[in-house]
Amino acid sequence: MDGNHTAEHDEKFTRDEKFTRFVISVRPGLRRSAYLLCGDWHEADDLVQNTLLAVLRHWDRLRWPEVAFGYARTTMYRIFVSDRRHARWRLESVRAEVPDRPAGGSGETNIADRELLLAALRELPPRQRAALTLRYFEDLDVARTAEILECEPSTIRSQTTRALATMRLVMSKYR
Amino acid sequence: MADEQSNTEREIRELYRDFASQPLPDPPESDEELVALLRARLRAQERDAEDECLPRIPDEPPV
Repeated sequence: MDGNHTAEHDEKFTRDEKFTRFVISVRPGLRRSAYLLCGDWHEADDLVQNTLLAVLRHWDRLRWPEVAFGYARTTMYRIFVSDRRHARWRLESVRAEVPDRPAGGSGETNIADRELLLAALRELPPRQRAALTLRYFEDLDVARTAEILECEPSTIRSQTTRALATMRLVMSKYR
Repeated sequence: MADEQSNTEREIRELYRDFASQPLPDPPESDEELVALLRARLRAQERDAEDECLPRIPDEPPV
C-alpha cells in the first residue's frame, strides 16, 4: 500500500477520486492475499471485488488510508471465512490439480515452490488457511489475527499448530 | 516437535516471501473499470433496498 499520502495532499481530491486512488493502492496486495486464501485467480478477484464493495458502502465513515486499509483486510478475511462456511465450498477438490500460474512467472524453482505452497494450503480448512496467511504472509501477531477472525488468541494458536502440522505432512509428501 | 514446527514455520515464511516477489497476473478489469463496476453494484443494491421499503400494493382495492 502507498503510505506516502498526506492530509494536505488528500485535500486536492474529491470523495470519488480518493476511493479510486484507494483501490489502485490496495488492490494488488488484496489480490495476492485473496489468491492464497482461494487458490484460484477467478475466486480471488471475486473476493477482492466483494471486499471493495463493502469498503465503498462505508467509505464516508472511513478515514483514509490507514483505517480503510485495515477495514478492507479484515472484511476480506471475514467474507472468505463466512462464504466458505455458509456455502460449504469444496472447490479445491474439483478444480484442476495444477494451480493457476501467474502470467510472466519466472524460473522453474519458483513455480515449483508456489505449487507446493498452494497444494499444502489447499489441504487446510478455511479458518486455518486464513489464520496461517494472516500470521505468516501478512505477518500479524496472534492478537491481531484473533481480532480479524473474531475468536480467542488461544484458538489462533491451536489452529496455527494444526495447520503447520498439516502443511509439514503435505510438503513432505510432495517432495 | 517444537523444532519441527519452527522449521515448518520458517519454510512457510520463505515460500510466502517467494510468492510475494512474483508478478501478479493481469486482473480481469482495469482499476477504473472495477471502480465503475463497484459503483454500479452499490447503486443497484441501494435501489433494491429502497424497493423493499415500498408498501405492498394490495391485489384488490379496499372496500
